[in-house]
Amino acid sequence: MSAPEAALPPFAERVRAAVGDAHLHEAIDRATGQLQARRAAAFASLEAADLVRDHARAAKLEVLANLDTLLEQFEANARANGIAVHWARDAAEAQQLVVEIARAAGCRRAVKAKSMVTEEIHLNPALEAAGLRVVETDLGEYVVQLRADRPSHIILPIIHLTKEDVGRTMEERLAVPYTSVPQELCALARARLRAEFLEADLGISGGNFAIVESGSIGLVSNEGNIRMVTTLPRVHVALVGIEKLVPTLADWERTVQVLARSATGQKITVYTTLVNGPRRSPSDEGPEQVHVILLDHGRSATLAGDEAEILACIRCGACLNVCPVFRNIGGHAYGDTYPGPMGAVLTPSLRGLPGWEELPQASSLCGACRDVCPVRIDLPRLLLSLRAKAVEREPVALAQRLLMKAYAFLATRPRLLRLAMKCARAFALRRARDGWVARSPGLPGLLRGWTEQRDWKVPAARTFDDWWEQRRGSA
Amino acid sequence: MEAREEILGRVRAALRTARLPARPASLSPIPSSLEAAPPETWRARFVAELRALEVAVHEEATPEAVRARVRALVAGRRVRSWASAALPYDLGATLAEASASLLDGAAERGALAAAEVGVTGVDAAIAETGSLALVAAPDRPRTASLLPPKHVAVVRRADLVPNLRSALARLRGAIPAASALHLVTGPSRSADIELQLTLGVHGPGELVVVLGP
Repeated sequence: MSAPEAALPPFAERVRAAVGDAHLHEAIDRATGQLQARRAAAFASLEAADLVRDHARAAKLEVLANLDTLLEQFEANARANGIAVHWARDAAEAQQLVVEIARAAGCRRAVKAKSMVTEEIHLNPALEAAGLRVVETDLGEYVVQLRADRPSHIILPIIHLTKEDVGRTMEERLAVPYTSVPQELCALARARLRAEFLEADLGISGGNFAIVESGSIGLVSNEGNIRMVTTLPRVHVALVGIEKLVPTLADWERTVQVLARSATGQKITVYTTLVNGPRRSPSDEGPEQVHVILLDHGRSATLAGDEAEILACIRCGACLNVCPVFRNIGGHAYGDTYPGPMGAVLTPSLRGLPGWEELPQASSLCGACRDVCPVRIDLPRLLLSLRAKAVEREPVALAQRLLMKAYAFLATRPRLLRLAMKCARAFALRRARDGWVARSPGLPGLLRGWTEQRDWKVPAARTFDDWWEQRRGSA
Repeated sequence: MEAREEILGRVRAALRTARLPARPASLSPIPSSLEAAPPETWRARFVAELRALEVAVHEEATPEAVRARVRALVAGRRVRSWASAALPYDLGATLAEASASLLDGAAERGALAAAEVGVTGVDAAIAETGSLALVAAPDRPRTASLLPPKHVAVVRRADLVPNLRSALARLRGAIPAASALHLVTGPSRSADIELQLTLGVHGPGELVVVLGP
């Protein structure tokens, strides 16, 4: 359990800053809009798409229901493949394990695949403190590292940056001539990172899947950096959350296809890899040692709670792209590794609710996240469950309680409610222009907060009640 | 061991109280019209998928034509390839003859990095997604499809399977013995910068498939 870092400004401030950032909106609108369209097209081309999603969900739920025995089986099968399996209770233990593996093998230079779990446990600073050189090799993550920034989307780490931002970063940090042409920026990164790959002795990756049946780690990438990371260095360490298991290769085959479709709208990622273990003979290519670190870090506690379903998440990012809140505030405002609807559930679940109570409020509960989730996680239900807990922990402000009491009083007295509606209309009309009450003059007193953020429509002249009465009368 | 026991203990305790959503009792198998379709249709689908991925496809009718095509693709180039025994259509001799230099086994990293063209066969070719399945093995070095800027994959008609499910069924025996399985679907790409497609980020920016008889 860990509250936010002390340096993190309050959520409302983070949101205010993001909402006012036009540059950010432009970048996010463009990207998320395209990703939504690509995802829809990719699912339209998948035969029996709903059934495939049902199978993927069933596989992930089966894992959660039998997590103890499946973890033991995975461990045994991975060991039989020559993989060294380690267990880490928390971030510090995982960091320490990587440092020890590197020391024991005499590794000095690490190349990293994009991995949210290594972001989650703040692996890079820990490795650097232990004297290792660590280079991010995913193009987006490389730019993030050059800027000492944080990724703002779990699939597209630099969704918040324009190509000009990237060009200036490379110009400053790599001392190369400025360009904003993506293909040229790519070539610059390729040349720099190729040299890193060839010299690295430690490859660090996450794991999209840990396949119980075959004892292998499943990884996906489009750039090819993950193949480099898992092929060229002498030692490969994969950090994998304990919830990342899938029972069989058949489950992997289905889930990997809905993952790609949901994440980027591809039928399958360019490089879809199964890592089965170290090189099988001296003439084989691949690392001499493969290590898997199975990480808990709040997952077993999450499994025990009402929000256990979030552990079925396969980190595709589709719920971010459709979320009206994410699309307005971007990823950084969420304050931790995982943004969007899945992050608003996962962060308080993994880190504990104290300090993160506001994240589950960052949702309109519109349900778009649940609709696109490839494994059909009921995100609105989980958000509501966390909201209820937050209220239990810390009673809401007096003003809000009084308002709610007043509403409850009215809502249980139909005649009074009808009268109040008429009054509200009369009252609103005095402050409205073209049927809307805007920020100025706004609503008075306690209600001002509402019109600070959004216009309020004047209640209709004919209420639903009137309409209903009339309809009943005429029937 | 201490961490292992503690994590497993926590998981067991959690499962006693966990409230997980109900799982569907049974799901019908996933249908595949491509599996049911005649194998001749797989080839057309495979080629269409490859072209959509910006893969250059050369369809050749005879082994001689395949060799001539590969000879033209590697002429005068430094080549990293699978071992002769693993390549189809006796391409080993063609590569040795036509390339400027040939690395088809274990080699120094510096020499590997200088290769200009990688030549491989495939262990299966997946029609539905245009994917090449490559099982890592000493005679099938991984770097041939990874380090050079251009990857030439030679596919036989017999390598074609309708989908990933059938590829796994075909490779079921080979996968456990291998250190890795790689599915390659098009050239290396990124959309990290403003979602604009860029090719050849880390892996080959150019993928050529020679489809033989």
